[in-house]
Amino acid sequence: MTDLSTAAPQTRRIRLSLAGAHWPLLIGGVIFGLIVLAAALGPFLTPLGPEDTSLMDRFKGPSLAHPFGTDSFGRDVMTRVLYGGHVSLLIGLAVVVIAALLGVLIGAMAGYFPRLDNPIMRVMDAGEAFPTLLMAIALAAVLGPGVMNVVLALGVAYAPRTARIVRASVLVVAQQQFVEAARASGASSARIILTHLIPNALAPVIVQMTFIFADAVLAEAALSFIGIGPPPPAPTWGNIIADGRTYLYSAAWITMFPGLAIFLTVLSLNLLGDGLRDALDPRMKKVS
Amino acid sequence: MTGPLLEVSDLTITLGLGRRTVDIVDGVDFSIEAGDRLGVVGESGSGKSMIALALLGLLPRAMRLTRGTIRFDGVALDKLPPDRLRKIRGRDISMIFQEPATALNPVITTGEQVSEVLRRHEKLSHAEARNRTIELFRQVGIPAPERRIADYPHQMSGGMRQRVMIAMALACRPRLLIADEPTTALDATIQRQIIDLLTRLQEETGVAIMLISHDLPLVASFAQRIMVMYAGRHAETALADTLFQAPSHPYTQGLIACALGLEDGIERLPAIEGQVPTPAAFPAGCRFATRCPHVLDVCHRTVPPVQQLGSSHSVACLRLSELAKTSPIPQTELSA
Repeated sequence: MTDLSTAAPQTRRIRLSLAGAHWPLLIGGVIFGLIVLAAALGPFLTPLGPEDTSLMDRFKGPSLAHPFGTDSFGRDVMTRVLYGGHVSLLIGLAVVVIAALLGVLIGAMAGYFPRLDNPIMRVMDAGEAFPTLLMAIALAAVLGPGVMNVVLALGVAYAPRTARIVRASVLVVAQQQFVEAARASGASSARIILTHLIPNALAPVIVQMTFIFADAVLAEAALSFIGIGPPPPAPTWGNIIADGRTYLYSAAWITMFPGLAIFLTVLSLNLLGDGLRDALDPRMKKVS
Repeated sequence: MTGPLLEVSDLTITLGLGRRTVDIVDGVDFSIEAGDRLGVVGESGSGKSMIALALLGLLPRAMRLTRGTIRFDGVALDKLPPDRLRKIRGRDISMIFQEPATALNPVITTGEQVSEVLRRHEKLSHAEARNRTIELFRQVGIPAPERRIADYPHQMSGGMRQRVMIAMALACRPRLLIADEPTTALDATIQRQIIDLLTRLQEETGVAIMLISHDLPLVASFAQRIMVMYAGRHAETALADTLFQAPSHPYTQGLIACALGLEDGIERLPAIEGQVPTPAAFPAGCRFATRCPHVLDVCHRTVPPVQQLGSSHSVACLRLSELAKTSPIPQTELSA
């Protein structure tokens, strides 16, 4: 009886603190949510296709018919930004998933098995020593360009960062008595890692995932810009900018709008990540 | 079964300190019969928790079992391969920890944590495990168990969490339960309830319980036999009554004087001078020599052997023959 009455005010307090103290979380979440929504609903928001050309409408500035203007083939930039967002965000998501899966598994092993710690982490150090973009370029050079390879290259490139964070928090969680208690009740190492260590070590990983997402969107744009991303004419934010760079002085809108999309995505993800970190870290809790 | 349920002899646990090594548990013998209630008493650092961990093969990496044997139900646990030992943990021998707040996984419901053990060892289905968990929660006195199994640890009080730990430990009807300071993190009234619960469950299920604590009066209210440890060595073992009537080791005498001082309400509490030495500073002879009021020169040089005072009373003190009669407690009889 009593726990029902105490439960209600508790949830209300959490909600209040979400709205009050964690405004970056809120703003970042809303902006990012809108971007995701726009990218997902792209086909319904515009009647044109991303590869529909119209030679009559080349280099038209922003207008009601073409809010973001048109490019050198008369393609509607807004349509391309919306469709490109679809691809760019999916690439970001896939990179995050790969980096998180690899990083969590590798990091948990390093944190839990002291014998594996040094060998694993030195390999991760080596991986991290390469600049992410160079590593991705090298992998793309080996595997060839294309969406899957970009995803794979970036996912592998970001895995060491995640592994480092997971290892650190697994080391802390492994000292907790419930891990010893689980061992004392006969749990296997796999069971301890999967059900006891990883779920309790995940908070900093979630924060890291937002930053990796932002980084991956930027990296994909950079890779597409230099031509090793998903090949044209399929739009991504990166290759729309690449297409427009020749006309930067005469038709700045071609590069400006996809650039703005990247900027807003990265900004909102960083706000989201900062907000999450503050919300999940008990040391950052505000007194009062 | 012929022998005792658990028989530990000459148990020695060595801690590596850089290049040096110290025996933090040195040559300890004890045994537990089926259905026995053994109390192990000692200050922090006396090695009592390490004995518990050694029984389950869970010593920290810096420590190793260097001598001695652990026989459980005739099987040498110290020589068992890790995966066989794992099957024994939680099923035949289980353990309750000191801090119920940290001994439960915060992100899994309490009911799920108990059922997990049941599914692992008894191969029960989810539904069966759930029903058994509810039953276990009821058995350990958790009200409204059908609702409580959905609670996360943070939704429970300390006493309730310790009851969950006990339910988890008893889930597979073990034959030996090791309770390492199960009441230390709880307040006094809850301590009493938990000890009463352990006593009741022991009588109902016939499980042997090894209760580890620094709190001698608490242990005395529960255990039939008490082993007193000091700095990794066995000081004195006796039936609980004997220990209080005729404590024969100076350390036991000191402990009992402290405990009785609390009850008598005298003005100044008797205390044992000094502290337990750190493992790096363990004296060469009797480890209690640095604090013993009856210390002789020889004590600093010679390790006192364990001597039998009776069938179930053993003491490790060089001056046993004199000191057993100079007990600080006025008494008319000495047990055999």
